[in-house]
Amino acid sequence: MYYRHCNTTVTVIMTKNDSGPQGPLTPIVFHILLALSDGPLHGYAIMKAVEKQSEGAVKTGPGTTYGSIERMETAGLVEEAKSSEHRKRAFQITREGRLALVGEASRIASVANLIKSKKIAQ
Amino acid sequence: MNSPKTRSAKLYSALINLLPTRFHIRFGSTMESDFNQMLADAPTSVSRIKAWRTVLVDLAGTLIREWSKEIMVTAIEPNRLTSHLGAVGRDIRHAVRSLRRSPGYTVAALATLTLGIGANTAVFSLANWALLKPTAGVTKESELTTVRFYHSENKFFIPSSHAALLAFQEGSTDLAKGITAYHNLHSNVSTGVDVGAEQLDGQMVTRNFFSLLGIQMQWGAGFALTAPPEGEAVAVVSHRFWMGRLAGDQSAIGTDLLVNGRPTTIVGVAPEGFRGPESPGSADIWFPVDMVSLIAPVYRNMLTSTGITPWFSLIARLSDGATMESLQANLQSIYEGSQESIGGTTGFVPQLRPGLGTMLTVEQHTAKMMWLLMASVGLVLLLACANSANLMLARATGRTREISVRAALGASRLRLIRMMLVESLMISTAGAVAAIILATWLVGFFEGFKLVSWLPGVERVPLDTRVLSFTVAVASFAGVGFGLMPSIASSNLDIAVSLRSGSSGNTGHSAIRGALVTFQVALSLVLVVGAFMMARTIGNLRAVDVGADLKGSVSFALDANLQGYDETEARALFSEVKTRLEATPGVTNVSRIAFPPFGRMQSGVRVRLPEDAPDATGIRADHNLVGGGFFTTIGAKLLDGRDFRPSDMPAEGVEGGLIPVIVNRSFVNQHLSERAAIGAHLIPKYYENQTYEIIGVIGDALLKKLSEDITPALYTPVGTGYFPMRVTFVVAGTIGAEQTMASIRTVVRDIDPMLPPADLRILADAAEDTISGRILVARLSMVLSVLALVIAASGLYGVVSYSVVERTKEFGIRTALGAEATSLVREVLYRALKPGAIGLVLGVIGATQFSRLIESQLWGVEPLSPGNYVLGTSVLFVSMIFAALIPAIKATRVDPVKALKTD
Repeated sequence: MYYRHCNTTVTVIMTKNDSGPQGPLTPIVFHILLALSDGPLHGYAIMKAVEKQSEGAVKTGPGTTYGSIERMETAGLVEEAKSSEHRKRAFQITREGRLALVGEASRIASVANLIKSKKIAQ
Repeated sequence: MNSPKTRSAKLYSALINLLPTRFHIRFGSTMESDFNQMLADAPTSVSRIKAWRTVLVDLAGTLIREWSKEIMVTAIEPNRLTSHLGAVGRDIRHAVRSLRRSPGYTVAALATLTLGIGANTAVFSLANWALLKPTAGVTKESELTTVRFYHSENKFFIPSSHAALLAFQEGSTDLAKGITAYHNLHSNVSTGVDVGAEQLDGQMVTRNFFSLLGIQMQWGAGFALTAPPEGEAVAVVSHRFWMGRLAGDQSAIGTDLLVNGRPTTIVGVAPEGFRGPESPGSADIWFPVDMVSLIAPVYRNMLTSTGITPWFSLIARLSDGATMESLQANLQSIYEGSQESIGGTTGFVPQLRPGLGTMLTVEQHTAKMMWLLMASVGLVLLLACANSANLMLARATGRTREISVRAALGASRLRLIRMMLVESLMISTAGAVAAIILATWLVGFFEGFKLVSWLPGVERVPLDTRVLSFTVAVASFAGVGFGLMPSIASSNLDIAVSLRSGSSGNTGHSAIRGALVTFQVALSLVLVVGAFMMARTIGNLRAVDVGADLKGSVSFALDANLQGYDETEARALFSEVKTRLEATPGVTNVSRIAFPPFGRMQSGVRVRLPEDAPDATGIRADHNLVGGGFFTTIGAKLLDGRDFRPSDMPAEGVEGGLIPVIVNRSFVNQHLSERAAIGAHLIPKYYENQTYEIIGVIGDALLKKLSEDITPALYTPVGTGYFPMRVTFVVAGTIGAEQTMASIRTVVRDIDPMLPPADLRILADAAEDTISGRILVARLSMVLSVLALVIAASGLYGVVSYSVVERTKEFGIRTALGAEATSLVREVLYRALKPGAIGLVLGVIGATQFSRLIESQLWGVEPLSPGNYVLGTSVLFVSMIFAALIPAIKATRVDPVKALKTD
């Protein structure tokens, strides 16, 4: 029953609701995708990776992480991977997820270039 | 398989139980293992605390997010809303049946909540009466604003002069529908020549006073808006006066009263409850200000007043669309523009305050006290909620099987929560109804207490719509407050386990219930310690040595000004009253004082020693003018020298020269310790042509508020400096206060029937009135703390009893295996007292904070002195032991055979 309304939750991931996976991603979603781009990880490893790659700027706890993952799953960006470890669920990035990540990365890069060309920052 | 859970893991596991079932089933165990990993990665206690902080913030966010998602998904389901409404109806029916099935729980929860909500309603109704209630009879109070002059540098307010009032009335017609003014004035009022007069609180008001406030006269037309050319004095009387003195007779309109000896026509009766714009008001009669020279000629200069004069309190009604800010700016510019004509002084600005509000002094006296009471009673409500939550959890644990069956049959978690929430709301609704009945009885408790010593005591406190709305809000808070947490916690079960075992599939319950006991014990300790401090305060105040013998002494005031006496006549009047009273059998002493003992007015003086430089700061002392034999009359001890004699009282006002004075012991100890006090000279500041000579030293007599400290005091004889036209007589006698008061009435009436003895009262009562408000607060906090103690003890009793029942089988087995009764009792007690002990520790910390909050209400009690904490903790500890002992003993009486047979 819940999944019938999955499209209502997709908007939570994107900051613009009509721009699809090409639109800007929230920092936590972007970082989870980035963390999973190297291969499947379980929840705790995702939290650690997010903290590390954002240099501590993005810190998440278990609730936020799994909540985001659930929404990303509904949007088709990640899926559950088979895990060898007991009680631990691992997740991996999907093709759509990779596309979204690449899209977001190039968006960030173009923004960065724009800023550079305007000499706002080096 | 599973390693034993640490305490942290157990707590986390209990907390994530609060998540929606769907989320909990999918991620619960993963979250737990992540949490354990996080803790394992945090080696030091500091990093563990950080980890906990992260996890708690995360959990709070997740709870909000996931539950809103859950509710949103449920709510947008087609046809769900109508089915929801139907389901709520079913839930109500089910709740009624289910509550009827467990009368013990229902009665216990209902009683606790009734007490909690009832106490809150009663205290709020008092606060409402004293501070919040709208003024009776006034329409659209929200449009009204008071205007005063504020001196920003010296931070004080003054009323307005007549000139400023006229300038404001003229210049603000665009922004204000009008401005009215009033001045409080006593009047001697009599209903006829043969009837003695009484002194009433009255107000001189502008003619638009009643119309601007929107007050409809109960009877009569009220004041005409323009003054008639040939003035005949008119008055509007209060409903209270009309009922009491005029027998509620309509034909009283148009008849005459004698006001200060002059005939005055009654032109209106104010609506019931209106006693002036100030709250609480005490006015009984109103006169148009233009008639001041007819009614109280001595004050006629109020009509020509300019500059800084303490005459008129202003009230403005804003025009439609005007704001307080715009009117404020307007008045400010009028004040600045006409500063010369109205004698304005720089440094003052007109300041507006919305509504009629309370007198500033009352606000200062009462507001703190009321908020303190509200805080205490709020704690009692929290306690009641915690207790009911505990009972509900206990019951939910007993209903595990029912809940599991419902869940197994497809009831969603939200549905289960709603089912239980409906039950708790029903109990709190019933509790609210019972609480209102309880509160109507409780408010009687407040009657007669004086929140402010010089105002009338608390009347019957009404339970108006504001109070009732408050009760509804409190009851809803209580219903949701005590129902939500247990329902969320108990709707999250492992269905399979609980269906199999019939016991709780939820391990979080006992942890939550222990935490609730901790919370209850902590809250009650806060209240108990607070009550001990209050009780000590009252004990200390009652034990204050006033340094005088007030037994049987009576005081009353005579105001010669109002009756139109001049100074010579007043002197003759006062001395005749004194002589006649002294001649009355049973009266031993009669004397005079300018500012009445234990009264509102106090005066001070600054003097210097002759050798000090004239610009020296000097000595600050309380000052009063007293007649001969005053100290003998009040029984103050004369330590040295002599009391004033009639020869010390000059027949005419003395402007300069040598004036005999009496000082108190504190004065001597603090300022004259190095010289002989008797015969010492003092120079009063600002009156350099006078010299005071000390002729006597009295013991420290405290003639002000009992809660004030004794400070240096200096007394000059009546008639030196200026002659007070309003004086207070103090009469000591051997015939009992009541008899003395009757003699006073007779004597004064014989001399001048139109001059009533005002403020006639027993001195000891006047002293007690200065702490009446504190006594009320202290008694209330004691009642509340007993209530808290009972609730907390019953809460603990419930928890321990339940855990004993739950472990009946275990106790049976242990008894069968030969366990000794004492060891069982010890174990039950230990388990029971552990959460309580943590509560005591938290309670002590809470009480130290609370004591700071109530510090202003304490007297002679150190907020942090350990005595009260030790006492409070002991009382609570003993109650806890008793509460736990009864079920513990029951545990030893378990019959092994029966216990093993039970499911």
